[in-house]
Amino acid sequence: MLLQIENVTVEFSLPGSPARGRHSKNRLTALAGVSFALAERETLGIVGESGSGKTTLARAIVGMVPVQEGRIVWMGSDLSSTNQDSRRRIRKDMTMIFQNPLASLNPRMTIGQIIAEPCQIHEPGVSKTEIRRRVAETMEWVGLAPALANRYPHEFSGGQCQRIGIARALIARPRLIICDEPVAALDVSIRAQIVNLLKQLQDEFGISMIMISHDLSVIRHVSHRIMVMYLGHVMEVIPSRHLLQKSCHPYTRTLIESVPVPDPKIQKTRELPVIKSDPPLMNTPASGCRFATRCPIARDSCSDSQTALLEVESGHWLACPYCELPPEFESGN
Amino acid sequence: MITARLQSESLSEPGPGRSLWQDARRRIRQNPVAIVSFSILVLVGVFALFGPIFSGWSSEDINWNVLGNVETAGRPALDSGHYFGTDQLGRDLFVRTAHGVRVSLMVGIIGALIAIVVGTLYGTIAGYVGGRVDNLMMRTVDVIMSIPYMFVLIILLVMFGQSIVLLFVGIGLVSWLDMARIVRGQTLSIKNREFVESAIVIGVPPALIILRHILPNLVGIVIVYATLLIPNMIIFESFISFLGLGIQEPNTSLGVLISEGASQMQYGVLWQLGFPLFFFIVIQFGFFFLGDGIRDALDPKDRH
Ligand SMILES: Nc1ncnc2c1ncn2[C@@H]1O[C@H](COP(=O)(O)OP(=O)(O)O)[C@@H](O)[C@H]1O
Ligand code: SF4
Ligand SMILES: [Mg+2]
Repeated sequence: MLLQIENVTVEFSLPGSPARGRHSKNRLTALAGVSFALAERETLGIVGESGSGKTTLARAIVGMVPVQEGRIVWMGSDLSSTNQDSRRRIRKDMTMIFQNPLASLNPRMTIGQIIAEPCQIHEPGVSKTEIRRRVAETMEWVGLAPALANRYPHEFSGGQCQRIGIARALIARPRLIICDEPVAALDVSIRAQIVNLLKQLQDEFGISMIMISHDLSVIRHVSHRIMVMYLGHVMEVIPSRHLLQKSCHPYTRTLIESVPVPDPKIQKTRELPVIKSDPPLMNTPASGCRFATRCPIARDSCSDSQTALLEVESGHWLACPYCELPPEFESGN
Repeated sequence: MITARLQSESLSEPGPGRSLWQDARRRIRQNPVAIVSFSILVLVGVFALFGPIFSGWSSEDINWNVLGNVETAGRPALDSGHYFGTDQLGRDLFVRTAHGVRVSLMVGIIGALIAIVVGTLYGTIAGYVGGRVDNLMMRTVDVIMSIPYMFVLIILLVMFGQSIVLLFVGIGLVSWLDMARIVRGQTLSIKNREFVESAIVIGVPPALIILRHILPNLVGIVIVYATLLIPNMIIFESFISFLGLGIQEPNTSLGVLISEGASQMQYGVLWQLGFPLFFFIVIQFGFFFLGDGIRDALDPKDRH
């Protein structure tokens, strides 16, 4: 396994929730015991509404937020116990593509410098000409003319900025690229290009990927497996090809149903009854299933007992004991 | 390797790009107020440095012919060679004003330099490291700021006698405080921008993150604030000199000259106040409008 996440919990302390005394729950649990494993060359898609902890999970893996409980194991070694030096070496192998393409590029650097930076940091011995050659090669690969290397980020469009971000992530040939909503901030017309580029990246270089999105269609297109998250909990993990037929967690079904359909007639007849309310606040303590407040098939016992993530089929994990493909979903497909 | 499978959208012509600096330079060239201010400041600087060459007098020569009759014989006139007239001791005011401008500008620029070096370093470290270090460093600034430094400085000057060293110590103590606060605030916001996060994820060491990713994005605000700080420092020095505690004879500064001129006002020698005051005001406005222009040029979205 390339990466193993074991029971990872991340809490944020909320500043300035006053007047409740020191014992009040001023903590927000952004990730509650999340576990998964990622193999070499695999792409894991993570999907869930905004606020479900996807970004926090990505930031925990790259070491930007401290983990309260659990372990993150990278190629056999626990990241929390690695020293600065080996952590820096791991940073060569594990990189990230950000949601806001322009904001993730330093406005004072040329894109040549931006793309070259990982090479300079991790391979200090490499000559300037060699770096320039690699930058040109990588730029060409992501579809940018190498002659543009002397330009500055603000001269590029969002899609081009994301190509620059991909080139920067790719140049040091990492083993894992984490893409946090890589196309969410882009114009709809260029999303497909960027998604395809990421897919080619994974096909051609065998780089593992974690693809985060709130958009199921993007996730399905690039992922081998899909992990569905809700309020910091994993709801379901399922191989991508089985998603439409075999997924059965009510939250997953809700996400599938709410993907817009091009034909407005079908869109209209389709029922979207499930999401009735906004997600409840994360810091309201809830026992049992976190989805119970919005679940169409919830029953009393759901809010009492903790629902565990169980493997119901090989490779298919589920955190709902009651969803034996309810009839409304079967008729829907 | 398979190349360029995806066509880029537009922007395919090669060549060097326009950096944000180049953009700012272009914008400031189109701002008449900033250009006029800058030109005037350059002229003032040329006057301060080279003005005395065109006068037959030096700043300490006393024209014995005007002594006792300054009101009429010491008037500004071309034929006497006293273009700005003389002061009460018969010394040429043109040369002395040039001298005073030079000293005042130097004080202002030294104050700004201290602010740039100490304030920027201090603020960046506090902002980037954060946590307890930040707390300690910024509380220290608060404490120094809460000292009524003018009062302390005057006491020191009275106790240890007037000396330029003490004046510069005073300027050095106060000039960087505001800069440190501004830079820290700016560092905090830059630190949370995604490109810094991206640099951390890639493994750029902290010192390099400050040097490569934070400082270059601070330069704009530092330049603007330093430009606006120069006139403040000149006022600071002038005030102390006006009280008779700063620059001492035979050295002079705008504050000293204004102070002397003001004390002679009632004897009909208004030019002794007028010329130094004119340069004082021109310098103040010049730096103010220049700083404003630079701010606009660096951040055009800020204003409409
Ligand atoms: N640095 C932080 N401090 C406090 N709360 C945070 C912080 N980062 C994220 N959160 C909270 O954690 C929850 C999960 O956020 P996030 O991981 O960004 O979700 P997603 O990326 O799925 O939209 C949100 O409720 C968010 O407000
Ligand atoms: S455990 Fe209960 S509330 Fe949760 S998803 Fe299943 S049925 Fe719905
Ligand atoms: Mg997010």
